[in-house]
Amino acid sequence: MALVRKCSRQTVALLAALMERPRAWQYGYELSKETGLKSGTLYPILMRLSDQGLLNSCWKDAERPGRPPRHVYRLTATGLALAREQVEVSVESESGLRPIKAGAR
Amino acid sequence: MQVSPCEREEWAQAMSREVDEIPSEREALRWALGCLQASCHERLKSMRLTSWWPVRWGMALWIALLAIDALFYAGITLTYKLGLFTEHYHYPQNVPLLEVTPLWEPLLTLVTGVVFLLAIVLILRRSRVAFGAVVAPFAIMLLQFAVRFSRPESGYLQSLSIVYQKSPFAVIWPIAGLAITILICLALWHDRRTPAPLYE
Repeated sequence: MALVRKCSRQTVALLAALMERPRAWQYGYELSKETGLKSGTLYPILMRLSDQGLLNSCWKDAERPGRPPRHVYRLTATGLALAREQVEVSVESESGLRPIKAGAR
Repeated sequence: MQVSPCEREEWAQAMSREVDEIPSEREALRWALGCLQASCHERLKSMRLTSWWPVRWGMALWIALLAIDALFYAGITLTYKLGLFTEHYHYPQNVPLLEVTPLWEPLLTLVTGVVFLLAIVLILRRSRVAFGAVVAPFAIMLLQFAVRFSRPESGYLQSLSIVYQKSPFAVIWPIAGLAITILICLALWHDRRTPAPLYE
């Protein structure tokens, strides 16, 4: 089995939030509310994911007129694959499930 | 005042734009403080420590001390090994140790000292190669210490013992020296990984 490098709990939470709606562009504040991450934790993670080519970001016009555009985020294809992998690893380790050997009780 | 480095300007804008969208004043303040923290983090990450002259000269001075130590040791030992000592040699107690020291050891120390001297120039010129020029001789130095420790006749272990030094503070110096050199290596490694600033 290939070894999967485990991301931090905060990164996994963010990846899970982004993975829920993979096609939708999401705002930073929205992601913060969804994950419970403070801006001081959220943005360094977003920057790192973007640097690694796992996250796309762009400016989107504000919904309310007269407001400046906002930065929005969504996972790239590679990011999505990593998110699936990491969320799976995280769920496995949290539930404490281990593969059961054949014949063992 | 912009805290974020130039290459993170877009992210700094992104963070500040979100503040306008937060309904509660209190929450907006907390958000802004978090953004300031993230910006400081990014600034620290992007900073090259050697771009600050006191750090650069401090590092160079420490490496110079290591170079002098290495060259002095190599000089004394090689002079003895080559039979160039005169009757005026002031440290006869060292002769048994010099006798058992193999010739390759002062030669290697000489190389270490020369590379340390080269490292001083590289640090002052803010070269990325400085990391290698400090780490390589430092690793050789540690290896040599290990070899000396393994030889009981070298007296190295005894010289580091508190009984020999009579004061526990004397043992602090080698440990502090080791820690300072490791810190310098880490700082140079950080600088090596940090991209060159857009403006300097």
